[in-house]
Amino acid sequence: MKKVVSPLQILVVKEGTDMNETKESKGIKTPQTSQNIDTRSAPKAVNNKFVLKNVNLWYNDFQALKDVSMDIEEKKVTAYIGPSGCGKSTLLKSLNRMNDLVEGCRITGDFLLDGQDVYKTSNLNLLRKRVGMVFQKPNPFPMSIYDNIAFGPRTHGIKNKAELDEIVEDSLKGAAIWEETKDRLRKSALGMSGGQQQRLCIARALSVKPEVILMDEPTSALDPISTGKVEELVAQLKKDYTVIIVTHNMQQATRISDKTAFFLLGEVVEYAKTSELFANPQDKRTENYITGRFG
Amino acid sequence: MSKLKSLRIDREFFAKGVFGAAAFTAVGAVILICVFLFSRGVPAIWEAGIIKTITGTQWAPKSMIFGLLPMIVGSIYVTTGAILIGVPIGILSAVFMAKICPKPLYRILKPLINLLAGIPSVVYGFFGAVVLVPQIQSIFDLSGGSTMLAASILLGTMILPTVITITESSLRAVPREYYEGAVALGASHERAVFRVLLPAAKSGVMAAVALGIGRAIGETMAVIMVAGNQTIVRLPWQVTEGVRTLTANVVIEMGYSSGFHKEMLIATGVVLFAFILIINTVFNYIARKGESPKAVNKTKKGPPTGLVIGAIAGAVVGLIIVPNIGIVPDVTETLVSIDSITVRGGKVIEGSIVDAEIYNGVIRKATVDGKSAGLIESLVINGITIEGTNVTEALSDFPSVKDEAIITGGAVKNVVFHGAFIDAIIGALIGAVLAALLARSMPDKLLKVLTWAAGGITVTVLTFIIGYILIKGVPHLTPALFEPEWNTTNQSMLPAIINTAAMVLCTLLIAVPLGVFSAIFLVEYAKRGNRFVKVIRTMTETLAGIPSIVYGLFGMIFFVQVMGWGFSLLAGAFTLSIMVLPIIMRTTEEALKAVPDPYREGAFGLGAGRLRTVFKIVLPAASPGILSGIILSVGRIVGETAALMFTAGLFAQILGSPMSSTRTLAVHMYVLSGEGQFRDQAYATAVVLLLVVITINTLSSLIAKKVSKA
Repeated sequence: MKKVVSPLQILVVKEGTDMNETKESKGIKTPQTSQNIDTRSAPKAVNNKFVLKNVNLWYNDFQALKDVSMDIEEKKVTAYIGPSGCGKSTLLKSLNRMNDLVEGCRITGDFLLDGQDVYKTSNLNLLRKRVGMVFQKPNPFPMSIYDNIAFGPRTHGIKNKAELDEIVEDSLKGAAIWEETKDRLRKSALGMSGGQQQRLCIARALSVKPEVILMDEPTSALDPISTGKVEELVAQLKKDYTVIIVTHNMQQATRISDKTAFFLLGEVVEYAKTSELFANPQDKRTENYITGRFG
Repeated sequence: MSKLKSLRIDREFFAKGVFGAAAFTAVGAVILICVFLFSRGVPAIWEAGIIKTITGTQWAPKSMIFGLLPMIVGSIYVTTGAILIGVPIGILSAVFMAKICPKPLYRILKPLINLLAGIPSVVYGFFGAVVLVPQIQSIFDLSGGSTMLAASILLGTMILPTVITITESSLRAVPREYYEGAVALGASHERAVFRVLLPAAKSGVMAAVALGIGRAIGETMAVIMVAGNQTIVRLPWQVTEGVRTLTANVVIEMGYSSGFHKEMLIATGVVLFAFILIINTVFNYIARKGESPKAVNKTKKGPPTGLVIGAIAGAVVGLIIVPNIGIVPDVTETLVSIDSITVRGGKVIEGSIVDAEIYNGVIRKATVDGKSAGLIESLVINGITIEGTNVTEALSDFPSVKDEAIITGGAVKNVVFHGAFIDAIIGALIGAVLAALLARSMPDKLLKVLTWAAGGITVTVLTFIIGYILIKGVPHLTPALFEPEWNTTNQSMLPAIINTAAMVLCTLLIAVPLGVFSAIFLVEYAKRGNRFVKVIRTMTETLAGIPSIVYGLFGMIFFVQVMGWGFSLLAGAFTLSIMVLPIIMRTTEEALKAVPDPYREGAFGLGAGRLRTVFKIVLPAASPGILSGIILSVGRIVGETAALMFTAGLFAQILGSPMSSTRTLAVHMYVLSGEGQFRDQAYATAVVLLLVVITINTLSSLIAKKVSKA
């Protein structure tokens, strides 16, 4: 793992402004190759959105994460794979501190978002605005489609109707569900299909203009066609957002992610470019897992 | 072999018959009550004239005048007041308990709320009479504190546990994902709770409000102890006046009514019943509308529900407050001038400085400078002295005086138009606008403060009630109160305790087999989705919503009079059996349904018959649930007063036989609290009732723990 030294920075309120551009990535050796899914952009210097250092996490006495360190590249898709109970969802939920809701959860180590430790921030709600989340099971609120999307912006103080309308439209378009929903914005979101609901939830996550989107097995409850749509969407999202996705499905990881981390029993066994990890795993355990010998 | 087989089939057939018969009996009981009520009440209303009964402002049974409007309005007023007080505090307290309050506090709060849910209404009524009524009297400087305000506050407090418990459990039932989704968007805890969880729990909250309304409108004993029970009610109301509700009307006059008067009391019961049915139907409709998948696809237009509810609540609050302040004066026509009024003690007061009201021709509330002038002995009109305390006659010479008139500025004036109507409209508008503005822009922080405040109010009020009763009652728990024989000096409650035990036993002997067997029939024998099952379920739900006074009315006329049992343990037990039957049926049904089907399949797979499966496999598995239903029923029986006063009677000694009159502890408490000189004994009785409730609650929570372990 490479080490990144970044000056401690005050949490940035507005997206995009005053980003820490000085971050250096000494360790990156491989340039963009043709194998990479994203061939449209090939930034020379890679920005790390998240830097995790020596993360340990306990649920009461059970240690769920063991000394995890990793960098998450900006505007890339990072996939977490591994068997059930390996800690991949746990790590994901630590990034926007959803684990705070779990009783008996204890965390040590650094979680640097743009250089600022998320566990030292004074404004938890702002953190969660910046680091959005899409859950395993689609969880639209029992409200209209419009109100579902408008909930986020309203939460952060936007009341102007025209502005809200615009955000709703942009978010739905961003999640590629505008065409399906534009005529039924005032209808309950619970009447949509599962796949539509999940894309609505992605749109809802986009509505607060986050920088990072965490996805916790977003397609595990969906049929193959809906899954395909969500995957397409993820590929588009990385143009503007940093995406971290937990998946059980290794094919999915190969299809949509730039980098993949393999988790086992709370440890990150291997973390590399997706193409490399699957083509040429360095660790025996990774090889066993991706060839289907366990998990 | 074949003999064995046929024997078994016969036994199965027999069992099915028994269970079916139980179910039919349960339905029969509901039908009986309905038939009885409607067959006697409706013709009575018809004979008296429907319009005349519903809109008649005078209730004078001796003169055969039966206008129910004062009672209808009284019930609506008192219930509305209770809802305005109890529902917002209740819902906020539920939010507090489910989502805000620290765990250690919750561990104290929850049993406290359960305790208050179980306290008999006589105890609440007694508390209201000794604490609330004097306070209101002194604060508003009234001649008597038994007022609509007292009844509303007391009922508002009484419905708190109901509203809190149901709202809390529906809040807890909201999927965790909703909360996580909101928080993941950066919503604060309060915002997630109030803008996502609470709206998601809407149908549960609705059910809580419906039950609260049902409880408030059906409450009898507590209301008659604090409401004053006058049959005079004016539109729009003044909260500092006494009021009589429909339930109070029945219980006050049931004991001595006869002939057409009695029929009209049954008619009162019918009107009450109709009220409950309407409320249940409306709320069922709203709840179903919120839940059905069809509604999901309906286009929703218009302002958000919160805004509408806020506006309505604001309108009602404005409706109450403004007319009580009085902005717009009444429009009056002057009829005749008064020279002077002589009040009791011979004091002559100059007519021009006296203010008074005339209602149904009687002068009341005569005041000078806002102070009560006392009873009027005579008045001088146009130089002619009219003697006598009955001013009705004095005014009979002026036929143009309306039912409602006022005396002011030295003259009798008819009220042509009530300024209070305009006041009410103004108040409603102001209230609606203010509440809508507030609901729209209420900051989450303020909501949090309100939640803490509501939680605080609930804790304070409830602790105060319990603390007050304990402090006042425990010192008076003397050995004399537990002497085996009751007499007028010792006021022993031991006979009442023994009688209560007998009543509980007797009622359960009737209701438990009937209820459990009916439930077995519904769950294990009837085909799922059977229409008959649906009918029974609707009926039991209806039965559950009937106020206990209606059961009392039915019991008195059917068991006491028609069956000729007189005031007796048996009549009381049968009446209460019908009352607790829905509770036992519902809880047993739920418990049976909760038994997983594989249990049954396993038994069938071994060749066990249905009967054997039910008794050896299903019932044992469901027994904790059934037991908790029975314990709930015991609570109802112990706390019941209204339904027992006129079925089991008031005889204060240990019962001799099932046919002897039997005073239970709650009835004993009511009798004691009505007699001023036995107040200490009443406190002591309240303590014993509290202890009984605590015991019952402890038992049921132990069982609940057992259920959750299994």
